[in-house]
Amino acid sequence: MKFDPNQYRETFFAEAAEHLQALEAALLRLDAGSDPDAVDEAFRSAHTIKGGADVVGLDSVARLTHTLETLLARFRSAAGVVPRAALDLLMEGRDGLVALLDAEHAGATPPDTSALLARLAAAPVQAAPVPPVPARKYRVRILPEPDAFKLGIDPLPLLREVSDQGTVSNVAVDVSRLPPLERLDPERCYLSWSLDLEASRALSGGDDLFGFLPSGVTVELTAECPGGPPAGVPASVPSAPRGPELANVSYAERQALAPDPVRFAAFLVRRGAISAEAALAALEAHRDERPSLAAAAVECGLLDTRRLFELVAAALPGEGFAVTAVRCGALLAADLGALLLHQEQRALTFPQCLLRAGALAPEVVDSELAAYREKAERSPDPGRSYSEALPAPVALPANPGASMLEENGAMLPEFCSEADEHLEAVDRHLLTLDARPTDAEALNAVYRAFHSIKGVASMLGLAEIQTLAHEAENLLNLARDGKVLLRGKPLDLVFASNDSLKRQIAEVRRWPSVGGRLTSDAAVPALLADLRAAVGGPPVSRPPRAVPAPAAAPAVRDRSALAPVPPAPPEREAEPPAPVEHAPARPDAHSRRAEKETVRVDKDRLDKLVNTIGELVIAQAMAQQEFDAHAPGVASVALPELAKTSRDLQELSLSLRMVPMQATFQKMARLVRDLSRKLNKPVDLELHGEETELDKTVVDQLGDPLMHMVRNGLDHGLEEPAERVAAGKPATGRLALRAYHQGGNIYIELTDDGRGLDRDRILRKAVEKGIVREGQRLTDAEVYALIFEPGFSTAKAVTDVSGRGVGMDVVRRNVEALQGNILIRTQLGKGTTFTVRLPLTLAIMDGLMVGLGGDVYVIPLLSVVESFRPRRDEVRTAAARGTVISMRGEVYPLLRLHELLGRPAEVTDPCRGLVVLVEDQGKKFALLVDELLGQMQAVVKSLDENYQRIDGLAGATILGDGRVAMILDIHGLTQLHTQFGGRSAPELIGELV
Amino acid sequence: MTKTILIVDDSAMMRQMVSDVLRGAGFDVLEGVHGEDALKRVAGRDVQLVITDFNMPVMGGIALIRRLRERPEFKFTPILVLTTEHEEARKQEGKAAGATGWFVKPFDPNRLVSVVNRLVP
Repeated sequence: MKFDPNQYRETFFAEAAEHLQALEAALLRLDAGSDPDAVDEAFRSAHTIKGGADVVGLDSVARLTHTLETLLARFRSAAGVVPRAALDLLMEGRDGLVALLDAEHAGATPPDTSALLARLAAAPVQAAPVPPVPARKYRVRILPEPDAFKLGIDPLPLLREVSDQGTVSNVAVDVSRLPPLERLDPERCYLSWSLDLEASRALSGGDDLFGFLPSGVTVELTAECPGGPPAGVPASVPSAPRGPELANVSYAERQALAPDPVRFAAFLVRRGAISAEAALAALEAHRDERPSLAAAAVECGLLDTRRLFELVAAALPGEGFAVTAVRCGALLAADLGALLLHQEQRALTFPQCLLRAGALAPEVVDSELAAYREKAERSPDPGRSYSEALPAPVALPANPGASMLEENGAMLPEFCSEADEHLEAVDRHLLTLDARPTDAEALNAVYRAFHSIKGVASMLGLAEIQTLAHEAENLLNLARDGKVLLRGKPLDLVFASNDSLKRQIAEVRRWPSVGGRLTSDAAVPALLADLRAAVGGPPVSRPPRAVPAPAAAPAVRDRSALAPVPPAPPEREAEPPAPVEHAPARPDAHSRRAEKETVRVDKDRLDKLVNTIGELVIAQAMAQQEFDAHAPGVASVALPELAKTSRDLQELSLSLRMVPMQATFQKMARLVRDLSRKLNKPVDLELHGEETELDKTVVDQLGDPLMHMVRNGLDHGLEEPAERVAAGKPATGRLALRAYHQGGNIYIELTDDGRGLDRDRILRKAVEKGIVREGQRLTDAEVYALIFEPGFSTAKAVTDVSGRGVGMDVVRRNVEALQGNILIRTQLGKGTTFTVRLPLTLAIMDGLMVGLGGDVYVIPLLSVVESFRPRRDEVRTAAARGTVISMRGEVYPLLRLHELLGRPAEVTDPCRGLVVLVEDQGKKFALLVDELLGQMQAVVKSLDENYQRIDGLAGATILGDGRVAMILDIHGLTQLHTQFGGRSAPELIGELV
Repeated sequence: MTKTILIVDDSAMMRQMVSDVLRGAGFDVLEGVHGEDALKRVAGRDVQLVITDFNMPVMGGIALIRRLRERPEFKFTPILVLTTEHEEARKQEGKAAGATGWFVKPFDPNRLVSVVNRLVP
């Protein structure tokens, strides 16, 4: 990008001359007496010249103005008192600046300023004793509109609020608008008020009087500065709401109105938001728009045209209008600052010029302004680095965002979960949009989600999140207007933004424990650039949004088409389009859910509640037993009631932990979408039973295994499109994910219509890997279960999606950690179904109570296949290496529980005791116990937390009589069995024959 | 008597921030997640001030203000719009619907309290 600073020079010199005048005027006012506003003005003039000089590369000018500025800045805090000596120096500096600028302008050798610079830097700062700051006097008129009452305006509080700003006197009510009684409408406001205000600070306008911007009231604020405009001059300017009292606006306040054009332009160009050409054009327009100082003086009523002509005639050669006017006494030096400001006010602001020229879209202007101001706060010169090379005037916190984060630390978890919800919603709706890119409801929902995140992030000072959400919102806005079709690249961009936001939110979530600087997301800069490009079409220069149709774009050059500030087309910024607001709410699951009232509760607290209620249930059972023991045969009225209530309470408490599967399913939908693109396999995904509820802990831990399963299904399960077509299947693969409840368990099924599992190939591979011995006989279920073995993969090639043999073993491990199991059904060439069976909750477990040597143990019911007493001929000993139960043609190793646990037992002969057939990872084992005691719902108490982990035991529970029962861990037991030299069934079979 | 203020914002966090500030200042706070919800909540309640967001699902701020102004008990109730938007066109729209005033996010809590104290004397 070319940026020729020389093109700017003329503009710069012209502007510098004006600012030099203002600087002199301000210094003269300081000469007359202390005046904080004059210091501000002088500072601003110097500051502006410096900025321009920086841009056009006049380093000597920049250096001198910077020194002047630095000196002035030191008096800004001194209530405007500048010692004589310093003032003299400032004047000298100003004169030096004039000489320097003249020389530069004429192309002559600039005078040496080093001596001046040194003197300025060493200026005395010690001020004379500070006289009290003169109070600012204003005349305030408060004119409520006739309908003000109907807008909820009560004039009285407004009048009171004025008194917050200083001392109020001479309050007068104006009753001239009051109609005769018969025509008086008591609901209309006919009165207006005027009052005198001695303000404790400078006020810029009516808005400054109140903490908010009232709708139905006109406020006129007239400054009555000593030495202000002559009496009789109308103080409020008809064309501009803010009058000459703007002279009193402090530097900072004016800065907030509009940034310095040249600097802002440079800033935009450097950021790549607009081209240098566009910046120049806008700057020129900005300059052209501005009325001359003379015109401003007439507009402000300080001069009439006749006097103006006299002044023009009286002008000396080379003398500017302002100097002539002051010399001839037509204007006071103090008026000049006001006029300069009025000039700025009257003209379109530079951002408005940018808008008009179509160089930037309105939202972008806002965000760029915000970015500029943010930078301006940190560095005195956002456009360039010149002054950054010098010591920074203000010490800045190392991490500007951190203090705000600390302040709002308590809010962060809330913010994060809210943002997560929004981002999840975005994913969901984006998937809808993937199928139907113009779905208005989904577009609105996504837009709103980004909008909400943006709003809250701004409160927390999370600038990066805010900006990204904002840019994404812009794109969505265009999509809502039908200007961009969310398909292909734009849709991917929104997806990517959503992902980046998710990462950043995760970062924010971690922040309270990690602290320090928030790491920024590496993807953001590129994303922002892409988003901006997507919003604006070709990068940087972009069609203006305010122009209705692209065809009309050239008309922007036509001035007549531009009359006032372009009014925003109402439909663009309007509320989400009408359908949402007026159409009867579609009773779909999402909106119903959104309307449900919810309270967020910390999960730990919930767990504690569930736990405590568990204790209550136990206590209730104990009370019942005690009662029965002490008063046998007596019926209690209260106890059954207590039993019922505590059971209800327990059910309720468990339901509190239940959350729908929806979020997890949605993640899978997103994964399928991404993978299907990556692998070039078109896939239709069906989701069923998203609303199925499941314990939060289970849901949280289910994400990983499901992800691996989906990945595996897509990568290995489904064939390449060509292969599918060759096999007579549709090219688009089908995946179905369903969840449903059945008999106290939840089932999650993943079905694909792919190639199915190849039994022989799996077996060959298993033998190759040494997992299975050659010639070993395995059932189908056992063969399929092999794919869950660590390191097992039959994939011919390792892709970056799956095939490395990690994954499926994770699936089984995770599912079993959740006390669930997986069943595989498959048909070669037709497809595979994985069924994951899980308990509804981990807090309570259905168990089978068994007795062993006087103790009670609980076997998770999910693992129990059946229980029986074997006949003598069914028990066989295999080569003295173990006992097996052989039944219905199958052989099960016998695990003697008392041996494994090292506990006494009453029965050691399986034919006299009982055998419980349990299943672990597709293999069945017979467990020998003394007796069966019945089923129970066990409230699971973790051993790890209270004691320590013990192999073979999953936890403990308290029985109704207060005794503790251990819950068996079947997988752990089978491992113990193996360690003790036990053999698995397939190994044993060979030896039996 | 404790004054009641209705806060309508679809962001739970924004609601929480505003209501924390206002509860701390001694007000009773009603919260609504969007316009329609807010209308349901104010039924039978004596509300002295409404603070609403602009951009919300189901029913936005403008529609809410219009609907509230239709009700006799809200005819003169101050309604502040608390929003990130600050374009003149939006303000005019808000005014036309009957908004009392404009308050721009991010807001300064002290300022909010002082404004509210003035509007609900």
